[in-house]
Amino acid sequence: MYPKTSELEQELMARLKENAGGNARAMSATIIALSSKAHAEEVDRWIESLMGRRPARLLHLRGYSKDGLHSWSSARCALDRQERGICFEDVYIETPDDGAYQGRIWGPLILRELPAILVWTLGPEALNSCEYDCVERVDLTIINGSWDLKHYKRGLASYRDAVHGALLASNPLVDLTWEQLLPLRYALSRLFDPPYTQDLDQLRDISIRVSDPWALHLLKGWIQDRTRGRTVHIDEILDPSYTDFSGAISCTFSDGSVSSLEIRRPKMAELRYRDGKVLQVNLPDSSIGAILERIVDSPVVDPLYKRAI
Amino acid sequence: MEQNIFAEGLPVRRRPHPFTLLVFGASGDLANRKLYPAFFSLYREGAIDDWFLVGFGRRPWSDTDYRQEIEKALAGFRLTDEERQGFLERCLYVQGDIDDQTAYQRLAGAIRTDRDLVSYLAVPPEQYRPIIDNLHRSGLSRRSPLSSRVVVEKPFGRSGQEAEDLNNFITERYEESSVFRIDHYLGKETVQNIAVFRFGNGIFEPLWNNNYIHHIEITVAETVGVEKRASYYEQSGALRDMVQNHLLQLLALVAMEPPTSFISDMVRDEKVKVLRALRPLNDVDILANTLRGQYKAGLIDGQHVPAYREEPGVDPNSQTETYAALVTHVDSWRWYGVPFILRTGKRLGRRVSEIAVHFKKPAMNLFPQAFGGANQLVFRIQPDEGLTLYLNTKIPGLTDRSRMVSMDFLYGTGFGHPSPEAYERLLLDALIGDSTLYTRRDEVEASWAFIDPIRKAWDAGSVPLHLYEAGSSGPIAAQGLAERIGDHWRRL
Repeated sequence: MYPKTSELEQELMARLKENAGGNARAMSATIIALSSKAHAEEVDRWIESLMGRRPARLLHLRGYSKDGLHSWSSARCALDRQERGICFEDVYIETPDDGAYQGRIWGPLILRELPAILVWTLGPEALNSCEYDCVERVDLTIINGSWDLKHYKRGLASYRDAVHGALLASNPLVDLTWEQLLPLRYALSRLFDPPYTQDLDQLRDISIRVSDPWALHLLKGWIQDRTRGRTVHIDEILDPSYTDFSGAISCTFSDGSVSSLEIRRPKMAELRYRDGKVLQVNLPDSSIGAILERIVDSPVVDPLYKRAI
Repeated sequence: MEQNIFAEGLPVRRRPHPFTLLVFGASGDLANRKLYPAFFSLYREGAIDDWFLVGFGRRPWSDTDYRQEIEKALAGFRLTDEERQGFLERCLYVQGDIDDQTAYQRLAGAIRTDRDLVSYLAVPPEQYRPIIDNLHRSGLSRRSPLSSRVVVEKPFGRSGQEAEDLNNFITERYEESSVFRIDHYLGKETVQNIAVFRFGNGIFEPLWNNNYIHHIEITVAETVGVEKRASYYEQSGALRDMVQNHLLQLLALVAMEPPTSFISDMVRDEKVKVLRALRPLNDVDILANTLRGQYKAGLIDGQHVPAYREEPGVDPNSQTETYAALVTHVDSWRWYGVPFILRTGKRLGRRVSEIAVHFKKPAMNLFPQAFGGANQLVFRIQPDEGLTLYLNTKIPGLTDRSRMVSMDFLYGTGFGHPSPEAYERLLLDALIGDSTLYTRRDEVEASWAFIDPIRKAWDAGSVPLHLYEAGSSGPIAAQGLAERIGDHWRRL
C-alpha cells in the first residue's frame, strides 16, 4: 500500500494557493531527495538552502522508516524583491521498507517539462546497480563525495573507483564537493589571467591546502589534467584549519618566485602575484544553495569532473 | 598566444579587466537614479572586483562627501558594513569644471595608469564636446595598450548632420570601437529575448516574412508627461526623443536577418541593413503616413494633469509633438509589402511598450461565427515583460463557435528569479568592452537619414499637430493610419 500521487498533487495545488495566492513564480525543477532516515536531516539541510532562490517541487523520500508508512504535503513561500512568491512544494513519503525509493512510486510526481534532479546519498554502488528504477527518471543526479566518503567503509581509492564506474555507465552526475571547489579553481585561474598567462611556462610546483580528502583528490586531479604535458610537481596538504569553502594554493616558478591565493572568507580570495601585486577578488558563491541554484538553472554535467576524478 | 589552462572549462564569468569608471555628472539625476545603483549591483553580484569609481563635478566635495552622496543613492540596497566599506572606499571625487583643462590634468593624475578607463558622460549633450576634447587633450582618450572607452547617452545629435558632426568629433579623439552609444531599451530582458526567440526556436523563423506576416506594430506609450525635462523636450519632441532611437532599434531587431554569429559587429551589421532598407518618405508620404500630436489637459490615474503647453518651462504656444505615429516599410526581400506601424506618446492612458507581430488570416474562414481575428505574437517590453501568442480556439459547448485566447509567458513568474535592470547589463558590457547592445555610428546615421525628412516636414508645419486628451489613446486621427493598412491599433 503506497500513497496516491493524484491525491498528493491535488493537495499540493490547494496548499500552494493558500500560501501564494496567484503571485507565485512558476516552478523551476523537481528535486528528489532520496535518503535513509539517518541521513534525511542532512539532505534536507542541503535542499533547504535553495529556499528563496528558486521555486521547486521537493520530493522527500525516506525508506526504512521505523514509523511505518506516511505521506503528506505542504507548501511554503518566500517573497523575492519583486514581491513574488518563491515557493517550495514539499511531498514527504516515508515507508517501512525501500518502497519510498522506487521510481514507480514517486515518478508521477515529477513536474514533466522541468528538470528533475535526484539527490543521492545511498552510495555510488547502489547508483550503478540502478536498484530503484530511478536514475532514468531524472535528468541529473547529485552526489556529495565528501559526505559520502565519511560514511564509506572501503576508503578513498575504492570510492573513487565506484564513482568512476557510475560516470562510465553514463550517469549524469554532479558532485557537490567538486562544485564547492569552483572558487579555488576560479581563483587559481585568476593568477594566470593576462598579463600573467606567460608565467605558466615557468610553473614548477603547485602546493594545495584544503581540509577535506575528497576535495584534495579532486583538486589534484584537476590540476594534473590541466598541466598535462608540463613538468609540474603537485604537493597535497590536508590542513584542518580550512573549512568547506576555503583553502590555499601556491605556485612556485623556476626562478623561485611565488604566486599564491588564499580563501578564508566566502566569495572572497586574496591573490598575491609574483611581482608583488596583491588583489582581493570576488568569487562565485560556493554555498550549497548557490550551487543548487546553478544546477537548477542549468542541469548539465561538467566534463572536467570526470577528468579530475 | 599562451592560453590560461586553468580558465578552460570554467563556467563563463564575464568580467572586465581592471578599470576605472569615470563619471561626468557625478551629482546628477542619471548617476544617482541609474548609474550608481547599477554599478553597486554589479559589485554585490561579484561581477567586478578590481576597480575604482571616480566622480567628476563642479561641487566642492571631498571624497567623503561624494561617498555620502553615493550612499544616499544606494539607500534601497541596505548595505552591510562590509559592503559599505568595500564599495565606498574605492569611490573618489575630483572637483572641476568641464571646460577647465587644468581640472583634467588633476583627473589624469588621479586615474591609475595600469587599468582600463571607461568615461561615462551622464551629462546634457551640449557638454559632450568639451568633455571629450579635454579627455583627449589630457591623454585619457587613447591609452594603448589599455582601453579607454566613452559612454554617451541619447540624444545623439538633433539631426543627421549633427549626429555625423558629433560622430566625426568623437572618432577623431576615440576609436569607433571605444564609443558606446547607450540606448537603455536594448538592455531590457525582453528586447534581448527578441533575437533568442527568433533565432533560438526553429518554429517561428519560417513564418517571419511577408508570406505570413500582415504587419508589425510597435508601441511605446507613457503615462508620464514631460516632467522636469521641458527645456530638452521642447527642442526634441517625440520623434527625436523616442522614434529615432528606441522605436527604430526595436524595429531593426524584429526585422533583421540572422547574424552569422552573436558577436557585436555581426549583430549590428544586420541591424544597420534594416535601417538602411527603410523606405524613405517623401513629402506626400509624410503627409499621408505620419501623424503628430500634443496632449491637452486630462485625467491620468484619477488625477487631473495639465496640458503640455501648461507644463513649467514649456512655451504656451509650443508646437512640439508629444505623440508621433507613422507607417513605414522595410524594402527587403523578406519584408516587402509588410507595413510597420509605430507610435509613441506621453500622457497616454496606459504605460505600454510592446511589439505586436500580426499574422495573416487563414486563407479561408471556416468559422464565420468566430470572435477573434488573425494570430498575434506580442513581445511585452514593459510592464509585465513577456510574450503572448493569441490563437483562435473553440469555445467549449455544443456549437462550433470560436474565439481568441492568449498563451502567456511572463518573465515575472516564468523564471524563478527577477531580471537585472537594463542599466546593469549595459554598464557591465561597457566595462567589458562588449558593444553588441550599443548602437554603432552607422546605425545612428541610418536612423537619422530616415527621420530627417519627417523632422523637416514637421518643423515646416506641413503636417498638422493634433491635440489629444491626456489619458486617452492619442489623437483620434491616428486611427486612420492603422485603418489604412487594414487594421487598428492594439488597445492601450
